[in-house]
Order: sequence, then C-alpha cells, then structure tokens
Amino acid sequence: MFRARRRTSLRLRLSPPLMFMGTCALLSIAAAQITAAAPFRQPASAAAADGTTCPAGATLARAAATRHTSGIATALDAILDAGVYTGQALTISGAGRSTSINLPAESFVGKQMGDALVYTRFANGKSEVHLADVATGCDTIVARPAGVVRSAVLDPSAAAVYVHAVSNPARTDLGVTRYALDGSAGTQAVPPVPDDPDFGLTFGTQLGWSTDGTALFVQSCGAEQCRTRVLDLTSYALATYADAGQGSIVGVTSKHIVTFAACDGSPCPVVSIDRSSAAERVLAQQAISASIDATAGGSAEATITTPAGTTEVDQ
Amino acid sequence: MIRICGSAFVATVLLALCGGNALASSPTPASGPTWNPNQHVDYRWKAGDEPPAWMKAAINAAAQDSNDSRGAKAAVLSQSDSGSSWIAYSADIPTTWAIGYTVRSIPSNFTMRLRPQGYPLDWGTLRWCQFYDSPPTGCYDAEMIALHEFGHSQTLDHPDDADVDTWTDTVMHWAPKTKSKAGWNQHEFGPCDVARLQIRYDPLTNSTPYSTCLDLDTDMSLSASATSVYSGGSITFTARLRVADDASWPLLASNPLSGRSIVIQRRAVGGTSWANVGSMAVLDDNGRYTRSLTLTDAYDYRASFAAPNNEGLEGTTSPIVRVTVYSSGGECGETKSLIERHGSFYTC
Repeated sequence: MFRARRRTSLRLRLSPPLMFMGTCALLSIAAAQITAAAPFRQPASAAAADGTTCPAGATLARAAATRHTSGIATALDAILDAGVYTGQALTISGAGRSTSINLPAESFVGKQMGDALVYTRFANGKSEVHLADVATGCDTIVARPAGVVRSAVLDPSAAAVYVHAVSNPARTDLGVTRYALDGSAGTQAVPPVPDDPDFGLTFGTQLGWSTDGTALFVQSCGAEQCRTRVLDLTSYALATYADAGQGSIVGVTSKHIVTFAACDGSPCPVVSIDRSSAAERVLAQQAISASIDATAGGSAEATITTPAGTTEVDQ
Repeated sequence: MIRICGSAFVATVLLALCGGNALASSPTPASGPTWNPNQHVDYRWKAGDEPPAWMKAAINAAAQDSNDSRGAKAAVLSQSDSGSSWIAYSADIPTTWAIGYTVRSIPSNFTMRLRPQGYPLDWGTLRWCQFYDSPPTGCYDAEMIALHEFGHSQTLDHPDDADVDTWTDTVMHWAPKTKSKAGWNQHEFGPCDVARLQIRYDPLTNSTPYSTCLDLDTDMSLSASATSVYSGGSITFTARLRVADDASWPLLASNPLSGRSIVIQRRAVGGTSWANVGSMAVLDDNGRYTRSLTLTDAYDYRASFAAPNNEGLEGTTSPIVRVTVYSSGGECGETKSLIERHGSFYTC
C-alpha cells in the first residue's frame, strides 16, 4: 500500500494533550502514537478518559467552531493500492499524539472552522456527513444524505451543514441540501446544476462561503470550465455565473466572485466577476497563486502572486 | 486556456495570451516565457508520489512523442532521477476537477500532476486505459493526457474547440476524448500545436516542414552564374527560398527554406507560357538550390516553388532572369547587355 501525502492548510496548534477516544465502529485507526482504541468519540458515549462527554451535533458544532485550539495539525494522505486510489487517511496530531481515520475512496475532508472539521464518506451504499471536534476527539454523524455524498461545509454560524451529493448509481447531480444540526430533516438549498452541453459532465463541485458569511457558493466544473451559483442567505436569491472561461474559484466576497481562468495549471489569469452586473475584470494575467481574505470593516482583499510579485486588490 | 466564445473578458485574455491570431484552424494558443532553444528539460518522479510502472511508461512515451513531433526548437524532455522538474501521481491537485495539472516555471522547471486510477469525480471514477490489459470504453489514454500536459509545459494553452476544424489538429483540447471516441489516443502534437511551437521556438532546422496550420508567404530569388553565354555554353542558376520577410510571425520571417522541391522554368523571349526545365538540386542547408543548364537559345528563366500539400507554405516564383545566347564566336563585349534581370542590365 502506498500513501501519497497531501499537505493541507488545516493546521492548528493545540496545547492540551489530545485524548482521541471513542467507540465509532465505522472508523478505523491507521496511525500510531495514540493511546486510545479509536480516534473519535461518538456523542452520548460514556464519559471518556478525560472526563468529558461528547455533546450532540449542534452543541458540538458551536463549541468546536468557536474554539481554536493551537498545536493541532491535520493532514490527508491518499491511500493507493498498487497504483489505485482506494481512499484517504485523515491524520490529526498534536501534543505528541496522532490519530488517523481511514476514509473510503468516496470521501471528502473539509476545511476546519475553529476546531470543527466536517468530513464525508460513502461506503456500502450509504452516505454519512461527520462533524468532528479535532481538539476533543468528539465525532458525530450529522446527516445521512441520499445518494453519494461528495462534499459538505459547515455554515458560518455552525447551525447547519450544506451537503452536495450525486445520485447512486447514475451520479446525476442532486444539488445542495441543508441539514440543521438539531436533527431536523434536510431541505434543498441549491437545486441540481442544470445540464448544459457547454459544460458537459461535472467533474468536481466545490462549496464555500463568502468572506462575509452571507452567501454560499457552489462551483460546478466540467472538463473544460466552471460555473458558479451563489445563494444569498439573506434573500435566498440564487444567482448563476456561467460565462465561458471560468476556472477554479478563489473566493467570493460581498461584491465579487474571484476565480482563475479555465486553466489546468499555472500561471493562469485571475478574474473578478461583479456579483451584481456579472461584469468581468482580469486582475492578473499570469497568476501563480491567489487567495481572498476578509479585512477589517467587512471588506475583502484578493492577494495575487505573479512572477512579477504579489499584489493586493480590494474586492 | 480560455474559451473564445462570449465574454469580453475571454477575448481580452485570449488576445493577451495568443498574440493575436484567433481565426479558425489557427495555431494553438500559448502564453508565458519560452524555454531556451532545444533546452534539455529533465523530469524526475516526485518522491512519495511516484507513478506506478504502467503510468511511468505512458509518461515517458509521451515525452518521446513530444520530442518526436514538436517540429520546433521547443524543450527536449527526458526522465532523469536528477531532473529539476517533477511529475507526481497524486490526488493532490489544486482543482477539484482537473485530471492533470501542470505548473511551469520557465526556464527553470515544470511540475506535472496526474490523478490516480480510481479517483472519484462527480460523474464517476477516473480510469486510465494503460491500467488495463483490455482498456474499457470511457478510459483516458494516459500517454495522450501526459502529452497534453507536456504541451502545457512547452507553453501551449487550450484552444477554443469552435476554432478547430479537425479534432486531431491539436492535443490541447479542454476536454480530451475518452476511448473510443475519435482522437482519444493521439500520440503526437497536432499541426496547430506544432504551428505554435514553431512560432514561438523556430522550426528545428531549415528543412523542417512548416505546420499545415500555418499559411506563410514565401519569397525566392534567382541568379545566374554568368552574364553571357555562347550557344552550347553552360550557365548555373542559383535560387534562394525563404519565408517572406513580412511574415506575421517575427521569428519565422526570412527563415531560409531548405530541402524543398524547386523547379526551374523557361519561356521563349516574349512568350507567356512557362515550361518546366527540371528540378533544382539542394545546394546547402541555407535555402539555396542550383541547376546548371546548357543553353542554345535565349529564354526567360525563373525558379518556381509550388505550395506543398504537407506544409503551411504558399508557393512562389522568382523574378525572371533573361539569358541571351549568342552564336558561337560572338564577342560578348560587343553587346554590353546580355542578361536582363529585373529590368536591370548586366554586362559581360
């Protein structure tokens, strides 16, 4: 078995010792340096060795998302067996301890929000969306979507997860469903992406939040190019941006959508799309990297690196 | 890299990237700095992300495809454990959707990532044909995809498919075909890829065929070895063929054209129809051709280059050279003007 290490940006620092204990039967440990028998604890499990119990979904999410414990590092390792991708291992380590969860090929691990980490898995015909607290080791299933879950993201208030799935086995898009963490039924937030020969089959879908946390973006990419839908959670208006030439998304602000052009490599142009008018503006022709960050006062800034240097553009 | 249809943004970017020509069957777009002429660029397998043997073989074959079909002084690619460039077989690709991803840092190095067999995408599972003894319908040909990525490393971008007359004109399509659609296993750069490489790097040699995706005007001159000849005497004609000085692509303008088929023709003085006299032999690799003739009568001569079917050059004819032939025993010095060329008079 061969593991290709994937570095992630999900790096935190944690000072207290980790105590990943629990009874989640669906998870298996693949890494060492752990004293517990299982990586994450399920809610309502008996009191753990550290004397705490795991709260249920909404409480767990709020507690984890609003806490940012230093010293924790997470990493994803692709698991290859004779050159075939069979899954990925999520490793969480800190304070001299490490735990790893083997996930199936059909799995997804999101970006951390504080100590909260959303990951998904599809195996044996069933999909699960998990919410984990990387500091306490608590892990709970917050949704069991129909079809094949592809990705999920916790909302900025840590009250719900938004889940993208495709049908099984046809793998047609099922759109994005909102699951409140109080256990209520899911409701469709964004409909399936419509078929369009200009985009063809969808290869990948990415969910994320605007920098001000008021809008969910759903970017669907075909083999050639992408289209982005933005759901304004204040008005529940859904806007679609599907002009030709759109590539991978960099980020969404209250005013703009920033994407790469449709390259499968770099350097690559970076483009800003006005959310109101859909007008496009090239921010850089030969970008090597780009990111969006919220700045003070509710605005946002794009940081773009080109061979000539790094520039920052208000967005 | 950018689709041409639709937005002003796309058009703007395309013009910036492609250097202008956006017509149908135009050379594949390209961008960024180029490698040095024939620069040897070695790649290694990225530690920890080394491809399986079947993928390595496909990648190395694609590198050879690139070397064999580039038709230009683009980078020469080869695998070496000490290479400064690397290739990874990895799920860690910066986009959620690409099956291959190339980053170029020219003239230092490039990096390439190819997703592993079995990686799940929204539509289904990625399958590489080379993984199978009997490749199934719907698999991707790893050699062609690697050639596509090597195309990116050579500075090529994606064309607008609407501007591509024939699918095999390029391997740089946004969405490569899967088995068994036409063009699913193309193992050489298409003519419009070669055209752009020639525009950016210059053809390999003066006798390298110009891509049929180009349409270059040519110029030809013709000179004679002597200004007079007695009947039965011999004259050596020398023609020089080159790409026109005002060709659209600066690197190609005025390039000598060697190894082509040049014919010398003649017509009777005052006549209108030309007849082939014979082929001119290649004199050197600097675009010069020669033919010696024994003359018994006065004729107008010219060299003719017919537009070849297998390359993107327009035909041309040289200016006319008139050779006056005198009967045996005449005095050259008595006539002063025996050879008329371009309306100028050359004396013995």
